Amino acid sequence: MKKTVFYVLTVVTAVLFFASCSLEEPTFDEGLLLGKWQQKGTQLFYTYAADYTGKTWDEAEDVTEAEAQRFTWSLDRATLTQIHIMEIGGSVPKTYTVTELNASSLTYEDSFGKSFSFTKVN
Amino acid sequence: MKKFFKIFLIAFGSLLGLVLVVLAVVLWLVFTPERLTPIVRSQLEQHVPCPTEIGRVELTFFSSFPRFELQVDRVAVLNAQMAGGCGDTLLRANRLQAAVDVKAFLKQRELRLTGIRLADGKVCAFIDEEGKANFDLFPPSDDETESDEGTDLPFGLIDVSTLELAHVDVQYVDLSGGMQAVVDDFSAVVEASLRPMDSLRLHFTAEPFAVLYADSSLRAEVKGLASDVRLQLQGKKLQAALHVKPQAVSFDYAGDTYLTDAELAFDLQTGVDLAGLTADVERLGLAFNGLTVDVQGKASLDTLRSRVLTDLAYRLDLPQTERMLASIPAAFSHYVDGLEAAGGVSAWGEVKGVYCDSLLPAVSAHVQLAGMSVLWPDLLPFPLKSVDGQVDAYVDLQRDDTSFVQLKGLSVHTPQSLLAVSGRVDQLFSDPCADLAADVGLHLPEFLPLVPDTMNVSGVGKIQGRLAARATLSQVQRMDLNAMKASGRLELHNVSLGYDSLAAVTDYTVMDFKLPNPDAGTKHTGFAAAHIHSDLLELSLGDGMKAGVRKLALDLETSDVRDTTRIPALNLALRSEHVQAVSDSMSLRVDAPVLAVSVAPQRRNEAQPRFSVKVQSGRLHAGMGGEQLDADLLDVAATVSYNKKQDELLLRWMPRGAFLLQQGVLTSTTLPYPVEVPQLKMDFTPRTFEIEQAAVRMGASDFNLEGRLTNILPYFRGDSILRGDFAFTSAHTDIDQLMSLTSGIGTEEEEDTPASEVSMANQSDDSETADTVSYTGPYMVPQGIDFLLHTDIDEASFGESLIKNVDGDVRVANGALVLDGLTFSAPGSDMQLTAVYKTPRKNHLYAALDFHMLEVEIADLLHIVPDLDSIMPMLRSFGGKGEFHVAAETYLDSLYNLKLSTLRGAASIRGEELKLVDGETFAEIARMLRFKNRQKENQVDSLSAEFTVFRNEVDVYPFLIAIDRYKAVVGGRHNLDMSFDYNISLVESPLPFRASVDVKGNMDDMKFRLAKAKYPDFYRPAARYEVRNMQQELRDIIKQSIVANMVRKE
Repeated sequence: MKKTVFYVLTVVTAVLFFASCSLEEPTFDEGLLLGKWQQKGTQLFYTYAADYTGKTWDEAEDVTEAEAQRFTWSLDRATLTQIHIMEIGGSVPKTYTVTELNASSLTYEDSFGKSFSFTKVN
Repeated sequence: MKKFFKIFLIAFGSLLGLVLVVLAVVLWLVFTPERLTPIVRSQLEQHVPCPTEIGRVELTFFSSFPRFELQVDRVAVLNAQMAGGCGDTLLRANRLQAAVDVKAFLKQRELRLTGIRLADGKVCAFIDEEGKANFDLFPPSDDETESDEGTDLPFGLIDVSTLELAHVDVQYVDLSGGMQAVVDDFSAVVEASLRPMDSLRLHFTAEPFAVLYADSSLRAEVKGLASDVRLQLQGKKLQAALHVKPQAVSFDYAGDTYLTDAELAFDLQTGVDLAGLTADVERLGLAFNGLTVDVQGKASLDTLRSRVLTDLAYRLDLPQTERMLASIPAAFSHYVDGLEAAGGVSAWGEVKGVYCDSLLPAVSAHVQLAGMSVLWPDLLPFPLKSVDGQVDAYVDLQRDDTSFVQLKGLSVHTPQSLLAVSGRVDQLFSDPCADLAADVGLHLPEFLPLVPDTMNVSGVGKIQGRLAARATLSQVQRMDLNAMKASGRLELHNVSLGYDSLAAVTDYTVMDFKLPNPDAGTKHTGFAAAHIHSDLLELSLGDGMKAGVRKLALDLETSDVRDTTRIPALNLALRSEHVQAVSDSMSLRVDAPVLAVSVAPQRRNEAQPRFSVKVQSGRLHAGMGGEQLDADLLDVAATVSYNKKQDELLLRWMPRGAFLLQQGVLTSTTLPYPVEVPQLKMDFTPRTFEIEQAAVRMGASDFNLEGRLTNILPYFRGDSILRGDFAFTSAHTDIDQLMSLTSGIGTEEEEDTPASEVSMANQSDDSETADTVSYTGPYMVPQGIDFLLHTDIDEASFGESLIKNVDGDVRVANGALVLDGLTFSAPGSDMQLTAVYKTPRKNHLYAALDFHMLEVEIADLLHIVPDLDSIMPMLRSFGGKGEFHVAAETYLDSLYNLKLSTLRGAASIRGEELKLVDGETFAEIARMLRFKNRQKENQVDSLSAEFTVFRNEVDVYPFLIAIDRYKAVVGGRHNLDMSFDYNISLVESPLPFRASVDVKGNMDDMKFRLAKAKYPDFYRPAARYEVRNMQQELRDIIKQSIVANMVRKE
């Protein structure tokens, strides 16, 4: 019985703790996103075009820009959504939270806390 | 009266006696040799300006009655100032005598000389180096212009009844001219009488004597020269008979001997009409070393028109050719060195017509060869025997149309061969036209020595036949075969021919040919025709290649293939009982082959050829190295239009026709199994291949292909891709085998891909076929083609997978292999698959699939798609049937390794009444969440989840799962390194709070802990939050995008 009470209290405490108010989400300028970005320490590239299309490729795996795969993107406040389009049909959506975006740097993280940092390249 | 006669006789006798007494007195007392000789000597000294010698001069009457005869012994004329070869003697005779008919002289003024005889004489004429002659005894006459005009004979008749020269030698030496002539032992009798302008009679007889003539370069000698000449002139009629008896003639010139004791004789009997200038030749005969020439006939001279009219018959006989050969001068004998000939030649004919500067008489000739034989080892390696036959000729330069040469049975035998020629040659002077026929029987070994040893030719056997030809000289010179006519038939008996390493053998072959072709099958093939029949014909090239044809029948007709300005026309038909050919690496055996080939100008473009080919055969076998083709029947009919302006092979040779192959078996070293073709039947044009039936069995696969291959011509022109639309039906198809067969077609080799050398077999060791099928790189989809297969496969195997009732389209289009909406049944499920495999380059291969499985056992799903276990390992925890949809794509390297950066996937799984079968994991979760039912297999009421794959991240979107009294929302991430991070949030439970569990770690180290509910309001209608909405939208995007292509079966 003690254990049960303990678990219940623990859960209630935790629920109350995590149910606290969230912080206001920052807003980033999507214009800064346009261009070509390279993930730091890798040869993985992303490009973001003004028509909300983009493409990504990894030269480390012998993929050229001409062979890049397409996606569409949107940036709402700090939420960056990329919907990767498969040629055969089907989409793979990926959602990230942007934490840094300026003329030369881009950093975002996914809902599992995995962070990705990029450097603007020409 | 008697008295008168008595007195007259007495008186006459007395007178006669007186005359005789006077003559006796004169002859015995006055004209005795002792008295007469000094008188003659004295007269000679007065009239001859050189020394002379006379032994004795005697005048006789009674011994030569009624003629006076003068005999002079030992007469000599000397020229002491000129000493030649005979010393100082110019003329010397042992006896000189002559008789005069005094009565004729006194009464008729006729000079009848008889008994003129010069015996044992010698004449030496000599000219020294300065040109001074020993016979130039008399000083020049003052009147050198003495004319013959008005010179009349002082006698009515000069009759030299007998002029005899006996044993007279004549020598003439001209040192200034380097010339010498000698006549030895000349004895001749001349009887002649001449009545001016009226009558002449001459008879000259010479006993055999010798004549020698020599100068600085020429030497001629005649031995035994004897002749008999008779001339008789009566008015304008002259009869002549000339007979020169056979003699030995020698002739040298410039150091070369041309004749040595050659036998030469001459006969002439003719009458000449001097008024009409006509000669009637009774016989003109010439003999030379056995060659005799006889001429008879008439010849007359037309002085007004300066021409001779001839009407002569001649005959020539050479009974002994060998004698004539022996007569060839040494200077020329080297030309016929080694030539031996025997037998006779006769020729006879006529010469008739006009001879003048511009005309020649017509000549007819008949030449008869009888039993001639020729042996000339230097020229002919075999003797010619029994050269028989007749050649007739008629030559009239004014009548070309009537002139001819005709061969009648001209035959030549060798010890084992025969050549017989007959025919005729016309138009001798304009354009000789020969129409000849020849029968030949050639024993080949006899003729081999004619071929240079360096050519290394061998041959045995016999060739018999008949050849005929008709052609003019100009046609031959121009090689105008179109105008010529020729035909023939040759039979080859047991013939074996060899040339270097090439050999041909036949036991019996017949060849017929005709030029032109009288039975042309087309308007273009009238030039020539040939037919060949052979019982057995074998060809070989060294030890490496052998070919044989049994019961061959070949018909050929053709146009003039030498005319390069036109496309040749040719019809060839070949039939045989059996053909076989073997070389080092190739072999061919064909039963009952039938081949028909024709070549002709194209109808619309005569500058280009059109070929027509028909090939039929019974059983055939063709092999080259390890490649072999066997078939029971082959039937090909095709026409090919040739365009030399095109570079591509198919564009240059554009075929159109039909192809039939039955019971074919193709064996190749590139194939681990034979390819059986029970029947392949198709029609083809430059644009389209219409495959009516292509039944194939390969290893474990069998299929039948029907359909059309189109755009062939544009494809080879580079204007379009090759298109195919086929129905592919099969009882069983081994997809691995088909892929290995078609891998790399149309793909250019990339040298910069080392991975291409890696065997595909290493990637699928478990594959039964992969053990034997070796790839040189990844499977490369053929380029430049668009093939669509409408498949209807009862059963197909791929790797270890076996699927049934395959129905759908398979498209290979321009480097992409697409399985388009393929439906099939696999154990546990009906499936629909759309898959794309593209090979833009060897190290960048694209693979994508759109896969739908309805009512599939989850366990079967993982068995069918084992890789799914790596991507979504949580599936292993579920049991029961579900509905699975997945769309995924990725690029692969040449070793088929995933390029993770390109991996994309989205899947949706729905299930009703599923069970959780992962007891260990579930037990822990159930314990922590206080599940009432903690059995190892727990019922899951429903499951509807979507998850995506992006690179190495598998995101499981929150989905609701109802178990026991609980409803929980499960979501999280699963990485391809098999680590994961899940959250299970209870949204409905007996618990008074929203419990949640985080499951993290990996399969070996899984950690559970209570955590804040990550999805507390999901699937709770009362709670709608933005985050949930977004997640739901994403799920909708995923679901709709991947199920859009699925076609549900009714």
